[in-house]
Amino acid sequence: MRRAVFCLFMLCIAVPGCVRRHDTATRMDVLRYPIGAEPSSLDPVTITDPATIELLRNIYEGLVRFDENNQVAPSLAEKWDISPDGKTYTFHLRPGVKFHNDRELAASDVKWSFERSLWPDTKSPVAANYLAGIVGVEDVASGKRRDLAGVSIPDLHTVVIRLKAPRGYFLGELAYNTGWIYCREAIEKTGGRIEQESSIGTGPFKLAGYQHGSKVILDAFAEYWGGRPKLARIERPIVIDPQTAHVKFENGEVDLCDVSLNDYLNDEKSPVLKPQLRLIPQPAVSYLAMGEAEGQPFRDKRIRLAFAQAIDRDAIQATAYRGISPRADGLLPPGLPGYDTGFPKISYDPAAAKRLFTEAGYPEGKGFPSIVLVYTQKAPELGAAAQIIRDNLKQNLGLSVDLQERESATFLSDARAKKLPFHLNVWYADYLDPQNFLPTLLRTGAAVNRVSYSNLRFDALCDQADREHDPSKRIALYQQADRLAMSEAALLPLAYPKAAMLIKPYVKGLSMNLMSLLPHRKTSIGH
Amino acid sequence: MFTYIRNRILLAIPTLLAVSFITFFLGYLSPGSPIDIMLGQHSDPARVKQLEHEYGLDRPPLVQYGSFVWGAVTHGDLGRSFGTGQRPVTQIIAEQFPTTAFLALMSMLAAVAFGIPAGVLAALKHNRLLDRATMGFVLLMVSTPAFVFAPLLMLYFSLKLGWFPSSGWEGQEASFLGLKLIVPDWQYLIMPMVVLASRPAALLARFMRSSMLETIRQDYIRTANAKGLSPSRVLFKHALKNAFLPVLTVLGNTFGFLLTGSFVVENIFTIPGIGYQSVQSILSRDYPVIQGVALLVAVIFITVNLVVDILYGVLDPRVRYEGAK
Amino acid sequence: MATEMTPDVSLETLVSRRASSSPWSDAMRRLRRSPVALLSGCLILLMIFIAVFAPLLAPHAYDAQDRAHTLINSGNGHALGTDNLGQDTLSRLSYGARVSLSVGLIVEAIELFIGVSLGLLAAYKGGLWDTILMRVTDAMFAFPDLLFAILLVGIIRPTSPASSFLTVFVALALVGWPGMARLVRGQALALREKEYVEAARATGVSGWGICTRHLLPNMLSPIIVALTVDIAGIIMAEATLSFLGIGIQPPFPSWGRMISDARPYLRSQPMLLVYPSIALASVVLAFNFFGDALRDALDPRLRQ
Repeated sequence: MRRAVFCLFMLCIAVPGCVRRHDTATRMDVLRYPIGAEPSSLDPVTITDPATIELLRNIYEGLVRFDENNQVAPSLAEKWDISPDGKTYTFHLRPGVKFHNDRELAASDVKWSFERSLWPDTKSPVAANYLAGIVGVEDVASGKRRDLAGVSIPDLHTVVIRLKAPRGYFLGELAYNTGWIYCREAIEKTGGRIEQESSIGTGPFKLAGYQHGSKVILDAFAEYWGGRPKLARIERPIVIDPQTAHVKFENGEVDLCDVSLNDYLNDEKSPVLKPQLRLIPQPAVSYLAMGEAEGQPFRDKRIRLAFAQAIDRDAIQATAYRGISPRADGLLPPGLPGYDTGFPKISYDPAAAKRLFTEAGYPEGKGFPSIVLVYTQKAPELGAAAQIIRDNLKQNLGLSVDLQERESATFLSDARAKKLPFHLNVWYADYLDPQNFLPTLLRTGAAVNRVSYSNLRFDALCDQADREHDPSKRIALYQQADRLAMSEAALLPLAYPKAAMLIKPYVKGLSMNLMSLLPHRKTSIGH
Repeated sequence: MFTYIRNRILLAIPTLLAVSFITFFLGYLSPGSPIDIMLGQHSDPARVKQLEHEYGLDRPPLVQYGSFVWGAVTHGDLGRSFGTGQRPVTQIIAEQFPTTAFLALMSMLAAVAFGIPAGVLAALKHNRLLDRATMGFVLLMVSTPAFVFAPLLMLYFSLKLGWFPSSGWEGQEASFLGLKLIVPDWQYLIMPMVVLASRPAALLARFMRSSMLETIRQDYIRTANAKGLSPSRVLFKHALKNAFLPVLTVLGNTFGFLLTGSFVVENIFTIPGIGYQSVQSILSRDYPVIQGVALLVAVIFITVNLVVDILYGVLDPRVRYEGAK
Repeated sequence: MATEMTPDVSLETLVSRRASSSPWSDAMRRLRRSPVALLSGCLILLMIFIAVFAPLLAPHAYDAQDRAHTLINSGNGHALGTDNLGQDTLSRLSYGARVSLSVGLIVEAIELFIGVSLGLLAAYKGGLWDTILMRVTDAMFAFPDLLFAILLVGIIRPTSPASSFLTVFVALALVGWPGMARLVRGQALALREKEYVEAARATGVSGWGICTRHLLPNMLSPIIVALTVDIAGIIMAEATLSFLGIGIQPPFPSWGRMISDARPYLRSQPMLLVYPSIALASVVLAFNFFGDALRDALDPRLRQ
């Protein structure tokens, strides 16, 4: 209380006064961390961008979460039992969990949250996909019923979820933001929409303020079940320009900031900044997609393999990714369960590529249709990678490739319509499970299978893995599927993109996993 | 005069309708949809169909446009944004436009305060070193894009000298015509204002100089000089007023630039204005916000151009108002 | 005020003098006498020369990647260093002149043509013409040009450099003309009431004649200023367009593109940003000073 009064007093004299540059007195336990975009929404089920998910993860929690070791861990559910047939999950809720409005969490909140996520008027673009395993999801998502048949609540602290079929990755899906639990009465008060005053979860921080275009403020939730967080407040100024964020960090106006790979290399030269730098692995893989639909030249496996051998991925790693992000050969990134250190490489071999290309009927590239390589500016490394690919194909196969940079919405709409037979992209996992890479990207007929890859053996391996609930067996099956698809160059993985951050030395106890920074339960500002 | 203004205001109605109609169909015909952005890397045909239905995007285009116009005319309702918490468009404008307008106005003042004297000075010292130096400086401003100029300022004045905070927009809350805005402390205002004002200031200086040169060579100025009127009297009483006339149009056009061009500056200096919203809404195909911003800009241009035309008449009585004939 | 003054040159002398010698040869003669005009003129010619003969002048191909030497300041056969892909900055600057100068000049020409004709039409015809045309320019200012550019990509789906060139011109010119039209109209409104225009009208000169012989020559100065200042904006706008997927696609360079691509290297490799900025600034300066000199040369009142 004394501190609060003191803070308030300092704030009052600081506001009209001079530049608050090295003013640390008012913010001993405030973490200031710029967010790179305006939050896309306050409603957890309508967001799909990592920045907003990371922000709201401090406010809301799901039944389970991914911990520092990228493993599924208990969160609102203390423990759970899985029936022998793998189709019934019984979650036992942690007792004494409170919402930010002091009401205790009950099993009915879980059921209601799932139902609300699925209702058509909630307009969630993804909930029906990530809760799809549960019995009765289609009925709720299509608006036929309001009630989700597959979720029952035998008592105040137990939730039973019935699945249509065994689903080894179901807990992973539940950890995604479509599985978060929110407060019914608050949301009903704001007309079913989640607004500032109805942003009430059970997480370690509560939403204290949101000035559009300016900043988001989170305050510690004193009665958090895991113990009161050490920070009193998290300030997330909305800083869109990365250069600005960097200057703010150097100026001591923020405590953390994201850094581009270029700035990372530059900061490494500075003795002050070097020890504050940190590389962050991501659950992502960048790849070259070669569409295999009927009538496309890439339908012929030899062409894809010739391209794979003609493209110097080590050069892409060294030049486009500045030697920082590792080269990719399989789809599963390091850190993810199932990452395979001994993944077979398709090596850079222009001579072999030329032979294969001639064999496929295009000696010296003659007769090959003209192709356009499409990509977006979203990931700056892709532009450089595209130019290297263009150069490689020209030198090694005698092809002339045109490059097309597209703005995001146009790119996404074309990709969805499968109108981009030759493009570069990055896939970010939504949950840390190989299932979110392999069947999601390459199973016959999968929505995100933008190359129309179809291999029945691959499909069978994935299906078997999806149903398996022995983790080690599951992973082995996925690894087998990965090797199979990559041996045919179904996609050509380029790199596992890494991110970088600057962290002030006085910020202690940050925890993160492959997805992002984790909720700041233990973070503190040291002195 | 009154009839003239009344007619102009009446004419604004078809202009606004035309703007909204064009904007709507540009959005409708453009590749990509707000649903694509919402789904991001995900895509599920069934979900796309459902969301299109929920947002009313599956209706025939004329019905969509019609219901927008109906809502706007009867309730002043411009719809809700598809993104950022589905806020009403009118609320977005009310909350974020005052900041942009404030910044634009301050930049305008700065541009006039620098550009006009610089132009006059350069004209008076025609073809001498001062003229060349001023114009060289001014042109350097024009050819340096804001996204280069702004970080340079920030690196030097904030990081190196520590004179200003690098970015942000903090100060006293104020209320104007029922709209709330934050009037920033001067430290926060200086750098964005300088960056935003640089291009209009350069334009004004260029135009003022050439217009001034044109004017002082006019016969009546020569006559005035020959009559023995004091040079300063000639300058201020006759030359300046006449030279200002063509600059007025530029001033009008510039104001629009300040509003729409504030995008980069707002981004870099993290100012919660409407510039960022307007570009972001186009990139994410947030049709209601695109409409709202287009209409807002149209209203501002119509007003500014009306004011410019009236000022034309005040400054130069020979210009007649068509409506008043 | 202004109207009270009596012109010290009578209309007849003005007209007869105008008829006596070609105004253009006269102007050229005076242009040659101005050192600033000569200097800036030479610079413009030099830039055009570089643009035309870039393949012969550039030490490397614009897309040759020397990946062993990326982001260097100079050396290894790269006088002005290389970018992140090891492409030679000097070579890219020379090729970039092609795109940037042609975009700048052609877009200006289109803008000039539409803007001047509509502006004159509005001012001279007045009445309904004026009302409609000026309301159209009002609407054009509010026109979401970014959205239009995106639509163009959707319609044209540019796949070849030629089609993307075309879209650049269309997108940029469409945005630029309303400003010019307003400027011309404003000028013409003021000039329309001048004595010599009234006199010309009284002597039965046609509307076309008044516009071309009396209005246009007398508003050259603001037009030239507008054009020469605008060129910087147009060259930079091209870079924005290429981000949206129209505009000149990589690896073909343009100055605007080079400047915006260099932005992430502002701290680590500032020279990447400096060189194209110098190229752009020098062209803008040259055009402006040349424009000034040209206007002075064309000004009938300055004739000796």
